[in-house]
Amino acid sequence: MALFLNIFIGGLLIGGIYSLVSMGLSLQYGVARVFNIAHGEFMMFGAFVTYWLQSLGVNPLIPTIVIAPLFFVVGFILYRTVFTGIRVRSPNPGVFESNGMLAAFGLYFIVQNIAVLIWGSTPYAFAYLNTSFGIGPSDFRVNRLVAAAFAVGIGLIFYLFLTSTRSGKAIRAAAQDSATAGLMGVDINFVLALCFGFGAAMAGIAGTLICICYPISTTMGLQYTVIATVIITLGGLGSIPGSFIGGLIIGIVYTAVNYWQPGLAVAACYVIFIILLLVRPKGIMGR
Amino acid sequence: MNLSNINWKQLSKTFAAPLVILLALALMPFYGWEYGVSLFSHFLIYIILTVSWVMFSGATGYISLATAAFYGIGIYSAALLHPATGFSLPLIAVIIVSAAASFLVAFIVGAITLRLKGIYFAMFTFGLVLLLFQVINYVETSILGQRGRFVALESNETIYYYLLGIFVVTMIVTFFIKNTKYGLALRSIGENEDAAAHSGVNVTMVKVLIFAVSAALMSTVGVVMATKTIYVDASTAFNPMMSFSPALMAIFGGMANLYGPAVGAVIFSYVQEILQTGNLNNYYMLIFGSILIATILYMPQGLMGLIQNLWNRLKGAKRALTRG
Amino acid sequence: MHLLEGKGVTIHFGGLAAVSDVDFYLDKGEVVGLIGPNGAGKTTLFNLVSGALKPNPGEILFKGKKINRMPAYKICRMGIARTFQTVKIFGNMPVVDNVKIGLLFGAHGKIKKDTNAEVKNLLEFVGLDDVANTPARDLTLAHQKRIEVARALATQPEILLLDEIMAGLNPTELVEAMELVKKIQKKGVTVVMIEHVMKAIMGICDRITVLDYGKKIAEGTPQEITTNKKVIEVYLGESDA
Repeated sequence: MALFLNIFIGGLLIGGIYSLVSMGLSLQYGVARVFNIAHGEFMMFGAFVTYWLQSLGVNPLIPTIVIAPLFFVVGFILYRTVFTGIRVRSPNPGVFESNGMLAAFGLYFIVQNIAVLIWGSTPYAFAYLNTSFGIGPSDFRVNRLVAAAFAVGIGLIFYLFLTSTRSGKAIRAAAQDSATAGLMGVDINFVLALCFGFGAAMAGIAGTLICICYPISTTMGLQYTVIATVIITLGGLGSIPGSFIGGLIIGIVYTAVNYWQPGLAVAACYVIFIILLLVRPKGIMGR
Repeated sequence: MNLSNINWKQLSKTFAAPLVILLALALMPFYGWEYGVSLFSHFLIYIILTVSWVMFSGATGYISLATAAFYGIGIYSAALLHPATGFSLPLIAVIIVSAAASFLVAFIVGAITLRLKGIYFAMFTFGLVLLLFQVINYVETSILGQRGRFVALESNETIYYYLLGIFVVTMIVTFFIKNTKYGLALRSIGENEDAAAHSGVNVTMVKVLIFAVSAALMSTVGVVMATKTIYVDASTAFNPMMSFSPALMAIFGGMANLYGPAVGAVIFSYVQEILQTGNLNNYYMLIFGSILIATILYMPQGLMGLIQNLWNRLKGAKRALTRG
Repeated sequence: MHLLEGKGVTIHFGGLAAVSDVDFYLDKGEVVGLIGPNGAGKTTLFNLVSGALKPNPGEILFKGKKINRMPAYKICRMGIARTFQTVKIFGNMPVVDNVKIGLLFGAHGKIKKDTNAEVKNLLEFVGLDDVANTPARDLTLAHQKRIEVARALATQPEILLLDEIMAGLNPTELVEAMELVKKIQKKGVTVVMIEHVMKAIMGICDRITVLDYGKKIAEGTPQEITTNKKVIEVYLGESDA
């Protein structure tokens, strides 16, 4: 029972962070149509910026105030320059998707290697709220709870933004059918860049949250991108609630496999991915 | 066969240059340029991987990131069947076994995944690399209790000749596919899969077969390269860079003709060689990423496409001049 | 026995019956028109016959043999070829290669002669011989539709399914297209055409089938169809023509 609780609650806690990473990727791929393989690298960069700031004595949750807008702007500009350029030059959406993904590979190499050049490739860690609290027979770290609460809070705020503001509605319209949304007077290039920027911001914040719970390294990004890919496939592309639920499910699965056999956790996610693509490629919340 | 039917002039025009190049390459070890042999081996690895990648992905537009998986299967075939100690098969037999194994894996993977469109196929194939890495790593560390293996070394010359042989086979296969109806079918699939199916092309079969053939070729490179490094383990065998490199080299060189991928492979592997020996690998990757983005944005036809365009423009200008 | 026969052919998309319990037949040498308002299920019916979709329930027989579980390429090789409502050509390939695909894979050994000569014949037949080496994407829509016809004919079909090959053509092109269909019929190929251009349908078809909301609502000669009450209702309800 204690074991079950450990895995279940532990999974939900890490799942919250996964949800946040996945929401970002879901926006970037589901709406802006860029499969950003460098998504995990943005997250890693966010984690290292946080690490650097806290080593200067800043409370590690404070950097999100800087990271979120900064990463948003970087993402926005990247989309307006690189990806819009590719979009304009592509004869059809299929070509844009392929070329966009390949350009994102380029981005992946650039971001990762800048990080390696600055911070090297050894793991870093620090202690923050490293006390434990008990739920029934199980113990959990406070920092994980804080991180999960933070992730859920941001996810919720964003969901409200999508459903109740004008820009949010424009984004949802673009997710359904960007060509038609364009005809309806939505400035489509702006909205897509907005989504890419939001995606990058979420990755950055997720980086902060990862950083306060786990050791970080400059090569950790790709693993999170793979997990996020599985989650958005599970949850349905472009679906925010889907990403959220998918994140929690994968969080539990990951924690369970990680407990039993740490080396196979990502492999297990991949197996889920295979089964999903074969059985229900639209995802659980897909239309 | 009626010999008078063969257009010798045409034939010699097509094959003369490649044969001369091949001869020059075959004599390489006799030049007494030790570094040249290993440098050209390095070129050949990437040329073979890139040309094999283009064989399938270039024609169909399905971006495969499984290259590292098949290359890794080759490395592990060598580690298991051509080890430093104990029973060891001759290298050529290992190559054949590895090619067959990769063909089989690619055939199965292809059969389940090649109905997936766009990025899903790319992610799926990339996931295959991670999956194989994790599973082999798990088996080695947790079940066998021994991480990595030792491979019997071969001389630089042997490695070079094996690679040259595989290169020739790769070129023949590419040429064959390009000039038979299967090449046409593959291109039609890249253009419009539905239309191809309704014109009588067994789309799934063609895709899966060519994917498997290219995978078999990729794995043979892995076998040969394993004999260059004494020790291999899952992380060196299944290095994601081996998936990305051929794609970038092909895009940079241009896929419109046969030379583009080879030119891209030579240029990039040369830069890599220089920066790696100077311990500047991270700078190589940084350049790699930047050039990839720049190529997609500003040189979508690749280097050879760019040169061809300039050449055509030059020829057009010349013609205009002589006419005027 | 009919050349082609459908029994109770049905398919659902989500909860919607796109084609519902449709019976049809085709006899050798006919030109049959398939008409109906937008979204009536005409193209879906073509997709079912050509193997892009599988009916559930229902069965389709070609020369007495069940084909409704076969993959598209096999149905094509058996002798049912098609064109597409939105052109699906091999854009970056020259026109000749577009046609060659049909010949090499669809006809699949039915042609022992020189394939190049046969491609040339077909291009002449559809009137594209002077643009044979142009990339297909550079041609006009009317010409691209003819590429599709030539490619379909290259597979040596017994039945040819033409999906709106006359939509968007100017009057001259329209007359040419109608001539082309008659020429195809003379070759001995049975033709089914989906068309909104009534002049063309009434002018060439021996028989017309009308679909509405996935159901067959009428069938008969052009004269019978023009006087059919149900058909008039459907069309007057939709347009004032």
